[in-house]
Amino acid sequence: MRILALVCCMVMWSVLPAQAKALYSESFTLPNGLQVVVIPNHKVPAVSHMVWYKVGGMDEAPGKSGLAHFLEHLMYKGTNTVKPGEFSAIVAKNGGNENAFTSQDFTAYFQNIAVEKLPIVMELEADRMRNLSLSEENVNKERDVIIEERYTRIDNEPSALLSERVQAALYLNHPYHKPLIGWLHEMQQLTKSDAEAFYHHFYAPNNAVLIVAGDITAAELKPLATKYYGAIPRRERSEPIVTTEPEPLAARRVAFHDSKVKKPEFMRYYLAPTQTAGKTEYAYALVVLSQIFGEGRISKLEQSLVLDKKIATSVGSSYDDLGRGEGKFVMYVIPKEEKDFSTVEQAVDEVIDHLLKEGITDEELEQAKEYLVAETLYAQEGFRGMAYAYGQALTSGMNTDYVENWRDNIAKVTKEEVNAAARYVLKPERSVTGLLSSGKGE
Amino acid sequence: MLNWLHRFFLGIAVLGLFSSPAFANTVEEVSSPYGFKAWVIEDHSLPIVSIHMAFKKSGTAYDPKGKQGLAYMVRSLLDEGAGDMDSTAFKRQLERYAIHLNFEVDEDNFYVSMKTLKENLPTALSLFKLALTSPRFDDDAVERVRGQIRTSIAARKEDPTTRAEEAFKKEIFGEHPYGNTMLGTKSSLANITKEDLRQFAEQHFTRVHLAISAVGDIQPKEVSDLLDNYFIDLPLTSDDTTAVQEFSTFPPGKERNIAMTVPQSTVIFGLKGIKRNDKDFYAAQILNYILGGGSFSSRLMDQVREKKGLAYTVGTSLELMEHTGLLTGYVASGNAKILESIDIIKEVFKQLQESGITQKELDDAKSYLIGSFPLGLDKNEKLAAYLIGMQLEDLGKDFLEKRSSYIQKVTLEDVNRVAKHIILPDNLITIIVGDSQKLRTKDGKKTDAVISSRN
Repeated sequence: MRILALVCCMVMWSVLPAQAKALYSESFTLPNGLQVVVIPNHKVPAVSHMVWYKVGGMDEAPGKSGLAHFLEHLMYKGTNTVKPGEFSAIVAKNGGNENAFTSQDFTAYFQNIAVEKLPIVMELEADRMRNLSLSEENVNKERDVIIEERYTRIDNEPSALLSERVQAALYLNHPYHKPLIGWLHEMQQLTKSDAEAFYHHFYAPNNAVLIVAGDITAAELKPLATKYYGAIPRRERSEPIVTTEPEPLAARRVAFHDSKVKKPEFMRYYLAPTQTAGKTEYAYALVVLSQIFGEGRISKLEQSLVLDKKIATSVGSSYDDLGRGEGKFVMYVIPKEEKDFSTVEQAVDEVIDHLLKEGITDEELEQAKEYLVAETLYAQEGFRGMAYAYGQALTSGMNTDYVENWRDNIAKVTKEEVNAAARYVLKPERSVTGLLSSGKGE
Repeated sequence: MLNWLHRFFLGIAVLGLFSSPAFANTVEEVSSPYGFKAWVIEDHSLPIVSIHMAFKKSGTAYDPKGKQGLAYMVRSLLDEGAGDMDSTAFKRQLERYAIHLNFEVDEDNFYVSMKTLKENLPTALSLFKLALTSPRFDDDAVERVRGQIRTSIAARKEDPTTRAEEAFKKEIFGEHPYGNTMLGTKSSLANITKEDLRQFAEQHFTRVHLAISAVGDIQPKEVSDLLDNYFIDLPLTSDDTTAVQEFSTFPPGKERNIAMTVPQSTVIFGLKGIKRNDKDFYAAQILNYILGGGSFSSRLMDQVREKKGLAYTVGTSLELMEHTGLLTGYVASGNAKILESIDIIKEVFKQLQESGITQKELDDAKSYLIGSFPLGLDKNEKLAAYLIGMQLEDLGKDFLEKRSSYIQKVTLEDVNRVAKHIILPDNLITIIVGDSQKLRTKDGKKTDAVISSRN
């Protein structure tokens, strides 16, 4: 089924490989602007065929939240020649798996299928890049579906509701402040012409990346790419105005009570640079910092709050170095009980203060880097994982070198860089603190 | 992720994972001098090794009365200290070498999976062996993990899906241990002692019902050697005599509401299905794919989502357990729409029971189930897990090659016969978790739905 990609779950995918066996890819660009990346992997006689569009939630006009994701759903609702629902039926009948996902930065469509069936899915994907044909009736039904999806992912889950509001408070001006799935009241108003306008504006070969990973070479793919995608004309467009963040001045708090809540949560988001936005020089260091601070098994948060002070049942942190806009450094704590919130917050602030004053240790640095580098080798397994990594990179303003050099760049991060990144990002004014409780405890 | 949801995914994953004629994964059976048996697939393309083990009859259904949650608690504690290493030391070792060592449990079995870079294999094996033979169960680790599980138990009450799952299991299994909550309850959790944990490890991590697989940058001889070198301490016998009875007497169909203030109602439904070793298993697999297992190509997706926009997710799967088999399903719709969704699902069941499937549906289903098989086995760890499943179900070493023929052999008559036998809408046990104040009948009248919160 169509899934929604939540930005904060993407961290894993910024861990990219290259190893004793060099990561290998070949790229070229068609005359109509379509970027193509081929990643050979001959373990299984299958390929992952992906088309990534450089458009996501952040490109939606005011009042149209949820449109990018809505369009992703509507892309299955028929073209001039393929009936609604037929796309999926053809792929399934040919033994393929398929899905699509949207993020704030990109929208991607993929099929995993036996290599000899690749032309079938290329033809289908190229067809709907240009020939989408929607009916009012299907648009209305699918709008009901995305509303059910919102209920499932967000409205039924107090924790998700809190995260949504914390995100909105973090971004004062950047379109990331809107939920990817959309605000319910705006989703209800989305129309067929909204979807068509968005589609015509953003879905063009010069705004897309084709990635094929698996049992194929660039020499084999090039003629197929030209045959199926080459004739689609480029579409020039004006870039939407993207509002950016002002320099943060004031810490924010969001407290959400719901009597259903049985598991209290503490979360804190800090506005942070990415590889392309804000102080980009801190990006690799922040990846290492997150591993040390809260992601590792014996992280700073784990040691202090779970093991030493015993005031939390679990802790964590995350950071994604890819993003077209400024990103976020996130930490969370599950307190043992609701009444522990202020103790937990105090303990978190102590860990941060200590970090800023003393910095990280050499041992912490080495262990974190060793771990991250080793994980890049695991990410090379399977014909699909690398396709995702390249897709995310190329639609976030980076190039294939970034993917192939990621491991080495992580290995080069110094203690001073991590400490400087921490000092820059972990300032109260850059933060939003979120609390989830039943309201009965505190 | 909890086992129940895991089984859902396992059910769906099993559908996609089988049999392509075109790929060369030869399974070698290894028998070590000291009598260990393992299935091995060599793959030297990356320096990664995955080794998996399963201990049968060691799942949550075997928890002693009053101590539900024991198996799950052990599973949560095995990386919290072993041998000379306390919790922190053990975890640091795992992380330093990027060794993945995971423990999982379902109703029937206990699973261990390990993944490591080839160069760290000896370290990984030492940690793997220590976890099974010398777990420490230190007091502070035990209390910490007990607290974490308690939090998870509470959290499961907050989520409509897990509430529906737990209620469904209780309703369909009654007093049978398959109906027990895997994590236990607050009180049963409090009853579990260090001695219980130690006894579990002693009685279950043995060679009595052990399946082993190894996939990756390793040779069969290496596997044989490492099993003898590292796991020789696993006891040959066990004095555990706990038995779980076969479950075949299903309760009659019913619908039950659980009130929760949420905008969307979640429904889990199910009834008697089929067991893995049934001669009609492949017919049932095809039937389930067509009914609700096949993502967008299923009847349920078509009728509930595509045609009516009533749900984001709706589907079915085969729940395969050692002592029973179920056909279960899921749907979630806004409170005012949920009854309509349920009615459509029951109608789809009725149609299927009465008129069966078409030749085209059969052909397309076979095409998918056979063609998509290699897609799910592109990583060593997936192959390793798959080989464990093959051993647990006695499918034979050559199953990877044979499966497509088993599926091809299924006829239209087979599937329709199975449909008449299994697709019995009146037998459906349906649990609805949602805001029952807002339930409506199809003609818009408010129902007198009884709010039943028996837990």
